[in-house]
Amino acid sequence: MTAQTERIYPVPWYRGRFASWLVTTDHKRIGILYIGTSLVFFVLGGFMALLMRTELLTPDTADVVSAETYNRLFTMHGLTMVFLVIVPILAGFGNYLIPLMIGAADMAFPRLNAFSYWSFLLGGFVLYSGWFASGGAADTGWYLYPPYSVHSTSAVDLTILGLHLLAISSLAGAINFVATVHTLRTAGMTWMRIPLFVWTIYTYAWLLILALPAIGAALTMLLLDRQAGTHFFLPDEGGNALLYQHMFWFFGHPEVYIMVLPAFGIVSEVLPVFSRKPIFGYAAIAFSTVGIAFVSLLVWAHHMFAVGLPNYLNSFFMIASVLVAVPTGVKVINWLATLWRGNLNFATPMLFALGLLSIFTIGGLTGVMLAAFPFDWQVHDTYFVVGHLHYVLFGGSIFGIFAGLYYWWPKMFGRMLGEGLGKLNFWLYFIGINLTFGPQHFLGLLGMPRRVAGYRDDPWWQEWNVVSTIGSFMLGLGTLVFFWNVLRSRKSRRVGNDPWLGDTLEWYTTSPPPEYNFDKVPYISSPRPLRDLRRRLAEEGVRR
Amino acid sequence: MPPAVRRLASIAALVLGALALAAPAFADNAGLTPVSPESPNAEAINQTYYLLLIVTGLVFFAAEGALVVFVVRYRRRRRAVDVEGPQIHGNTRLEVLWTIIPVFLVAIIVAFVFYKLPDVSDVSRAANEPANEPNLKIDVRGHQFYWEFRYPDGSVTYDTMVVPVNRTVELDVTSQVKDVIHSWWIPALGGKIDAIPGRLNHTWFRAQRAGVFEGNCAEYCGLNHSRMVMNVHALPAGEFDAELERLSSSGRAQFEAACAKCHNVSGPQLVGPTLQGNPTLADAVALATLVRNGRNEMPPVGAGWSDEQIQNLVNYTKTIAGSGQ
Repeated sequence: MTAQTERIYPVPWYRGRFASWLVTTDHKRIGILYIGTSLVFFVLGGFMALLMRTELLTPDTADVVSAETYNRLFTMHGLTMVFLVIVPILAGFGNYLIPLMIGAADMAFPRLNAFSYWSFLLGGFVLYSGWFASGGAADTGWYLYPPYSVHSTSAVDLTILGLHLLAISSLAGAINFVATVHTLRTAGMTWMRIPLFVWTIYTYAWLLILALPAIGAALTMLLLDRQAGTHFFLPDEGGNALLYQHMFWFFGHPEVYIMVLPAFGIVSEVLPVFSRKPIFGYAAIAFSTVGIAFVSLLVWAHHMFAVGLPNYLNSFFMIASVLVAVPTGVKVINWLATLWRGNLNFATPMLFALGLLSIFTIGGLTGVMLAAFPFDWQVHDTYFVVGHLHYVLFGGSIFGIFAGLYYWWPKMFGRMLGEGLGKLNFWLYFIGINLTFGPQHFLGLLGMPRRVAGYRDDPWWQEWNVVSTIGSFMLGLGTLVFFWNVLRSRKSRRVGNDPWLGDTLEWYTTSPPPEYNFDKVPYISSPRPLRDLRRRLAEEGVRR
Repeated sequence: MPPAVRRLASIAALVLGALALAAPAFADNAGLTPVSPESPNAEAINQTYYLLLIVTGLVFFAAEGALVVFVVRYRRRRRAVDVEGPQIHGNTRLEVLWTIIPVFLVAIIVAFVFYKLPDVSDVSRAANEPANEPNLKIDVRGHQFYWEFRYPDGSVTYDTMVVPVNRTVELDVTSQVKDVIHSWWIPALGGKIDAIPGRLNHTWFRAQRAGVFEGNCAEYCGLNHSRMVMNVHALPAGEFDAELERLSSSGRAQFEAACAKCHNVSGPQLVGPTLQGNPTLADAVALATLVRNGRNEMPPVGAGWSDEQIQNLVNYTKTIAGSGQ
């Protein structure tokens, strides 16, 4: 008698619950890894910000941290939020959504995509290892200006290495996005039918490709000045300290648009869906994205108005900078026109999108003020600029990112984030951001410089600093509410393919989508394939 | 006017009225406007600020107003979630119009900046007091973490610049060549200009009243950046020479600017060791070597100092060296 033995195939190790995340080349998993990692860094960067705000409750230095630590905190806060939070989380959204939105099975180069994520994570570790280096984390400011950064004994070299790794990661990712959008669009998806979010990620990718080489070169020269005895940036040896600033901001200003354009793209997806209308002026919004990106390459020296450039150069950079307001204004007005006569549904994604519209507008307007260089001479390197940039990067990028998190969470995990906690999250953020960064404009006008651990003992200065600190703790609380919401969502109700009645192709597949995304993709005949499909089904239902 | 818009208009009127009432209470020192200008270039910058505020303020109220009106007017109410609004895809004429409007607005700003620029940038040609006095030219040199001011007559002061009222002061601003970047800024006396090693920048001011005007280094320069404060002391012309003489010969003022931000004379250790009883204080040669070259963490605070400046400091440090023991 022979026993009928059933052959059991063991699950190979790389299919395991955790190991499968280590070896994955699935764009959706890589997207989630990007987003999750960035959120961890968001908490770390936010914690450093709260430490700084607590220090600034009183005019004295060294209430809670020493001046030395404070300098490391604002440096690492800036590096974290720019390079480890906003840029990579947008790469995460791009990774997750681009193939789904254009009807592809994956990115053009899935293994390069995995490489991008892992070099991002490694870069993050290298940056943070500075805290354990003998000289301590970098204390140079996120922009690493020489000669200070050449002389500093802090972990500048580790920072340069970390930034190089992050730049390689972003560059590989950007090339991947460009290749994907060019080659993998499904049948019928012409350039004027791709979702606006895809337009912004496509532009984001090109800006990265154009701008990153400049900072790569600048950082390498800085490293050589520190370690190889060159003197590109050392005036006492015949070098030029300003050369670095030009190279840095040739990257640094496009970087701002790299951080904010995809957030605009998210808003351009969310507003129509929750207004039950098409986006007003699809072409104008798509081309204004490209327009902003182009002009952003010509405005770098508006970060350098106070270095003593001749006024004809200052004038050129002023005019180029205020011109950014034109395509940006077109976007804002087109978004407003999208709301006009709509059926506005104030779900959490919509609240964050409207919040971006209202807060980013203020950041854009103070940006126009700063472009007028005589006024910039007054408020440059003061808290006015700190207020302005946080209205743009928190009110713009982070609000867009949170709109995206609430909007696509059900697609990514098949479960909704709670609406009640979501609204609490929104209102804490909306009030918190205005309390935190609004008074900073007043501080700047009063004369408070940036990057100081202590300040003049003056009643108004302290008053506004206290208000700002209270606001920052509301932001911290809002972040806690978000994570509580995430934990709670593990038990929330399951959703179908399309809980929001969306317009774009990612809602055509299941939530979460299977590997390789689609069994088949309908022919695309407009920028809103899902609405076309719903209407066709409704008509057929009537006919039957 | 539809009722919603009327209601909104009355709310807007109320808010504006409240702001108008609050404005005088806030004006000048709460930060709604820049600090009150005491120099012609600062005045021109202030006027630019007001124009910017008006133009951007109009856009702000238009955009945020439209947003609030639409949010109130077109909210879902009891409509089903999937009820669609009119499917309007765009309107070329409107879109061209609202591309042109921002161009027009930024053109106003650019034109006004060019109109005011000479008042900010060009050194004042107003007559000095007393008449026929030439402009006062001062070299401003940034160091970690103090300012050094050199006057035409050879006097040197530290952190406090002494100037006569109603006389144009031209500044040549730089940083010690082995030092880092700093930024010269007295908010009441005009915009800032960076002090960059190896580069000579120029700015000017003309204090229109006597007083002390405070400022801070405005470019992050390291550990004690927040303590790198400076001020301009404007005096009537008759008192100027005496005050400059007093201050430039004060070793104590020099010590407090260049040394005391890191070293206590007695008491707890600050950044560097407490100086009480330190033999270098009374040793001119050792002190010169130390401040000119720095040591370990200590920057060369005295790089570029003349022998007279060293002597001036030693004259003072000798006295505290004795006091400690």
